[in-house]
Amino acid sequence: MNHCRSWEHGWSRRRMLGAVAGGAGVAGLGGILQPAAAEEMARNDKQILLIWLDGGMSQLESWDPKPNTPFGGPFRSIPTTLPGIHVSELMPKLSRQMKRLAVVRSMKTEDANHSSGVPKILRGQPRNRGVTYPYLGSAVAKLMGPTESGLPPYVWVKPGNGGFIAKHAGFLGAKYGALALGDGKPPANLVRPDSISAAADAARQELRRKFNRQFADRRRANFNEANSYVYDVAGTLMKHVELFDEAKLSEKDRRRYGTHDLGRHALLARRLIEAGVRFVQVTSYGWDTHGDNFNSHASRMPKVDQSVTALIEDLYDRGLDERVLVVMMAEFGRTPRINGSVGRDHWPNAWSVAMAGCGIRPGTVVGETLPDGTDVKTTPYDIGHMFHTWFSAVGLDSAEAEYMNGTQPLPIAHDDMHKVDELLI
Amino acid sequence: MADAPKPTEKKPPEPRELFKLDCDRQLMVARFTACGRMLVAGGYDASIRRWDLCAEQTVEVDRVEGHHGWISWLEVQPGGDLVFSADTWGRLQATRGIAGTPEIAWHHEQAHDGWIRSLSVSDDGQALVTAGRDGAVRVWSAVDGRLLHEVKDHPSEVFAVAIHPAKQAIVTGDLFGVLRRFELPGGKCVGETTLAGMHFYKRIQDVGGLRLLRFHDKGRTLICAGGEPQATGRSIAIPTIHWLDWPKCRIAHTARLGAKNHGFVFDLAWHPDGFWAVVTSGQPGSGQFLLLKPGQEKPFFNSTKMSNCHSLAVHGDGRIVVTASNRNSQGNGAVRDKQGNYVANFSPLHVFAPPGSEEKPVAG
Repeated sequence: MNHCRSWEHGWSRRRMLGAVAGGAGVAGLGGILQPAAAEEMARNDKQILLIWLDGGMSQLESWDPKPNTPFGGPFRSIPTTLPGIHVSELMPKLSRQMKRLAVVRSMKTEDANHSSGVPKILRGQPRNRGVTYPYLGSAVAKLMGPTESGLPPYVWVKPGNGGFIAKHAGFLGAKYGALALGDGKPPANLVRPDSISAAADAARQELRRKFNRQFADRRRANFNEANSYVYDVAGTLMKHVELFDEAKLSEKDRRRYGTHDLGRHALLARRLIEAGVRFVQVTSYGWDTHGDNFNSHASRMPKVDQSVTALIEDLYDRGLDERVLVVMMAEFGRTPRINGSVGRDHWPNAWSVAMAGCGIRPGTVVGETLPDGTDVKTTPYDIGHMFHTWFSAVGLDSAEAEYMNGTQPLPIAHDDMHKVDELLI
Repeated sequence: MADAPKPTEKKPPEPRELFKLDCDRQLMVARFTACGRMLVAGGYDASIRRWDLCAEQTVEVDRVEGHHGWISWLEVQPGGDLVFSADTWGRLQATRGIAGTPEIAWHHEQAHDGWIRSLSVSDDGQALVTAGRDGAVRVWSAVDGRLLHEVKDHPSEVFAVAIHPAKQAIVTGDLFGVLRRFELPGGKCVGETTLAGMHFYKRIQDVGGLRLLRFHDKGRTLICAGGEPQATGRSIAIPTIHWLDWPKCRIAHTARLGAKNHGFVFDLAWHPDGFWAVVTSGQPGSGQFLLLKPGQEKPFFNSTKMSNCHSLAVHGDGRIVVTASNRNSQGNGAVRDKQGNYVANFSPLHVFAPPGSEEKPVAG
């Protein structure tokens, strides 16, 4: 019985070129993609903003309400600007943005655990080929590189601590990791102290580079690249310190986005996107509502509703919707069954993902769940389908583009899956 | 020399479980009718469930429909025939003849815009007060459902409300653990007290700990119950009850009833034998049924055998009913029944004889 798929045998001219280029050590965009593709990507001005609701937002209290059904919970549904489409009453503002959004209600994934589910979803859960795939942000950083702004291509705005999170990059190498801005704050000591002149700073940097070169001669390239890269990132950020100057924010914007973490971080994300960061992820923690799910969502959802609506409005008002893809998701949804703790547990069987902007067909709802929300009724979509769709939306042909891990060609999204055409313009 | 034998401490009498009733859905609240004949309850299926206690064997009889979402609260009219029920879609209803052939006496489909969080009936049974997620607090005539008073634009989300027996004041408890006292008529806010510890904020979530208000002792005491939340996303809180001296609006006594996995006090009732009966629900599988003497901090009876207890009521003859949750199907798996159906959790109702009932048999 032959289990091999065509992809594994299809040594195209493109792949051969890629392999040769990779083997020859051509730098290009990281030395993995073939040079022509790399140049094309460098001209690509598309950007991605991922809103990650860590722990698992309930689809039933957001995009796929089932009011007055056994598992529907206490909340009502409300109509949206899209005829016939209802969402939870906890999203009154987003309900009025529905003509700009696309929602997939038929997500069906495999992993119901946070520890393994988060990386699987953020890596697009490709087939196991013995390598650790990059998170979406690192993948985009690699495949598309920085924009012309030169700003770091993958910035993660999150509560808590910041730093450089190399492990997101997987096999791509540490330099494609995430620059994490803990609580939206810039890295410490970003601004050059007045006591050090520009000339002295330049001399110090040159000395550092010299030592780095000597150090690099005796060590693996990836490690040194990442080490130098972090310094380069710091240097770039020093030129953009105004991004972190909250005094420059208007009171109106603060109010529109909200003064809570998610609002402040979403507003920073908009500014990072405007400044040219290729991929920004905003994370909100604490969505694992095993207990008191409905009070939790009653408190949390209005904040999501407020900040994401402000973000969508701004992207449209500034014409950025044609350039920026916005995705809002978690690692899974939540169980239809309500436990004794008035909570909902983990549910990858039938959940929802929302998106808007660049390349996405606005006012689209794809898929349907059963009347009681317990399973997907229409064609189920996995995260691999979404990766193909999002790559396509920003101009990457995921059926053609691939990574080269040494001489090993690797698809950038699950090779058994495909883009969802209904979601794309 | 051998120690002298210690006198045997007499173990306080405990309640004795008489029987258990099944309910195929989860319940939020259960009460005995004023006449004592019927046990009524409401919950996740938006219907009023009824069990006839006077039948040869306690049996469930026809449900009363009309609500939506969940029935969030249900109370009986003291000394009267009405049962008041509220739901999460904003409907408020008074049902007459619940122990026989029920009929809807009056209702407001939109008494509030959305979830009615709390409902309380005056001691004389003539008025009831409701509070909703819409920021409104309303006092209604129990007889005909007329709106008597209204507090509009409450400054925060109300979780609990109670009406003073003298009907000259209502008190609200909000998401942030703040008590507000409003005078009637007029609805003017005349006092505010914060119950420290009954609010927790982290990761864009406010967790409200003040979930139940109840006047006692002819209005001289206000009971503020719920929990001191320790986390978001889970029912992790130390179940807590404050007894407030109402005229002075000062805490007179506090009882913290167990570890943080026990969550919140969901319901309580004064027992005619002179103690408080309390239920708590916290983490999945955790729950307590407690009996507590006035002024004590430690319960004289504490059962954790039942899972996630959500309601409790005391019958005129001293029996106590506790609604719990089934222990299975609490987790991430798509657990199904033997026929392969994905079924909802449900609420068994445990009926107890009061402590010391061995000596005085209870009917039923």
